[in-house]
Amino acid sequence: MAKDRLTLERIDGWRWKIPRTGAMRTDGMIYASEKMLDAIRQDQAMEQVANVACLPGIVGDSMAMPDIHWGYGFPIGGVAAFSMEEGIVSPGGVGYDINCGVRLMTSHLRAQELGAEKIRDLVAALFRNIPSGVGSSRKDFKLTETELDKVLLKGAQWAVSKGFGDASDLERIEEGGCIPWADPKEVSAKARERGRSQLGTLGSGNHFVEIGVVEEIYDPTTADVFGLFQGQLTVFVHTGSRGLGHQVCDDFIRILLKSTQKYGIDLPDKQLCCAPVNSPEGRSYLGAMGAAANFAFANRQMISHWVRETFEQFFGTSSERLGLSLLYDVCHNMAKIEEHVTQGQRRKLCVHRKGATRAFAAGHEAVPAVYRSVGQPVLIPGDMGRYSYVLVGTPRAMEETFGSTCHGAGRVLSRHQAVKSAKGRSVVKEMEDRGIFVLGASKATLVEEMPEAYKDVSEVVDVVAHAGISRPVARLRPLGVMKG
Amino acid sequence: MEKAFYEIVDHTADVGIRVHGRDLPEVFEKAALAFYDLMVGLDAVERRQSREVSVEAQALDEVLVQWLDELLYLFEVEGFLGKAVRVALSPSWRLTATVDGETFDPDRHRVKLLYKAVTYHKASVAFAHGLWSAQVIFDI
Repeated sequence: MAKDRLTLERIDGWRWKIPRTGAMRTDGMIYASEKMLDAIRQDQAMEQVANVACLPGIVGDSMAMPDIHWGYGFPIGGVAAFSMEEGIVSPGGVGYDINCGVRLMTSHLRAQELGAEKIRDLVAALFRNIPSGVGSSRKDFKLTETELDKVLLKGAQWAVSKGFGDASDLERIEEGGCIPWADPKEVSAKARERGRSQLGTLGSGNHFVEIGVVEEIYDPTTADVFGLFQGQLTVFVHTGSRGLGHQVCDDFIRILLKSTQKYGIDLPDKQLCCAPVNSPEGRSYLGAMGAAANFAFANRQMISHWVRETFEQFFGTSSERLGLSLLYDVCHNMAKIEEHVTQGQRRKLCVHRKGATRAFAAGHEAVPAVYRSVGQPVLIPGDMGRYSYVLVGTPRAMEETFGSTCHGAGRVLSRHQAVKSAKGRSVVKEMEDRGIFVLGASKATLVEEMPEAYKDVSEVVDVVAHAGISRPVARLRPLGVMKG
Repeated sequence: MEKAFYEIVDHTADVGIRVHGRDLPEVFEKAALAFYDLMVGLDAVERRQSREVSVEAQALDEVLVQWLDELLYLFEVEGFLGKAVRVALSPSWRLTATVDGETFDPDRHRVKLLYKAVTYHKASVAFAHGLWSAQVIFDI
């Protein structure tokens, strides 16, 4: 798409339409504040929204959430639904880190009872118990090829059956922690090889385990249903499908580069390669993607088990007494077959969310029974120095965005720029001055991940709240962060 | 961190490399060395063992991505790091290579950058003004 032909039309302060032009089959819709527009224009992300609008069988608008930034093929923050008959599925609409996601654990503990010293020791203990960085893994855990098949088929259910957490965790995970259409046979030997030693590891980059505190409650009724209270100690876990998911994405980009030609699909960008949802190649990808997603569910389940173990050792009491329970676990990078009502008709669609979160409203059967009266919890981590949010899904999201919302802050500085601007400074010390203890496997990662490298997540949350596609429930502040 | 034999391509969330050479094997060799240099620093790697790699694709940019992807796979699965590379390329875009190096040693190697994947975005292998050049961007 030629960028200069694209225009932005203001719908209201939070919605901006890219009217259909050229090869676009539908309009683009960007959720953003006026202030964000300059950055979005500079980033080529608009062009990517328009490119997605060119893909066959797209239903509704090609959308982008306010944390939109440039991605491979689809923009990060991209949401697009495709018809099961004429539509496509694309690895570029899911991303390399399949089912990268976050989970939030709550506790009976009050943060102020702990104090800074204890937080520091707790982070150090987490760091010893949870593998992160290059080649690191637990000495007490090895995965055979047969077990890996079960992981790929059963996800978090496999983890629970092996004693990682308990069955009550499962209902508090998107899809119950298991994608039913997963097909381990579609996962290549290479992907398995990359994944086998990486199950139960955090990884690097933006992945983390974060101890935080509930700082502000915006919606007491919903917060109560979610089990959140002011001053409460919480734990965030952010990771995905590791090398296994990256390899699945890579394998299928290669396969689909060929099938795109075979099915005569015209692509504005190679990273958008795709296949009809119902073609053999499309079904293979969905099977492999589901298996990689299950790997990620199992990974987060294992890591949160080790978080509980660490707390038990640290406080010398059971995790039940500490009240360490899972609030919810959401996926950020997924394509799902879901039913939605569009133009008065209920239909099955292949919904791609890339750097976007499912945000279903109250009453939806996919929302766990315990939360169904208020809606699905939506977890929005920010950068490591500011805050994170808990939101809840709304009916407006069901009507407009196929039940989707934002997923996080989004970068503003490249890694190279971050390193440059941190020259001569100590990011760890600066964070400590803000009352946040940070420990990382790699010093370079800490610098690249410093707060100013990210957008202020509050601005992102403001947009989705004003647009009505989700509602703020609580704000959390980090106290201690373990980075990969 | 930047060495004379390659340029860093700066990107919002990720990072890439650009290399130039007189012929195709040279740009593929330099791309591999840049890949290792950006990741751990070539100076820290020694020649102790070697690996054979071969990839085949329909287009040169795809050969480039798949070549580096193979090196990433060797690193993730075996911890293998390259120091010296010899590449041969057949006209049907089949690349065969020998990579000399060693396996990752946490005491001597410090990872500066870990790649999730080698992407097709803006991946290119092109000839202009008497020189071949190659560019690739990594997902971090």
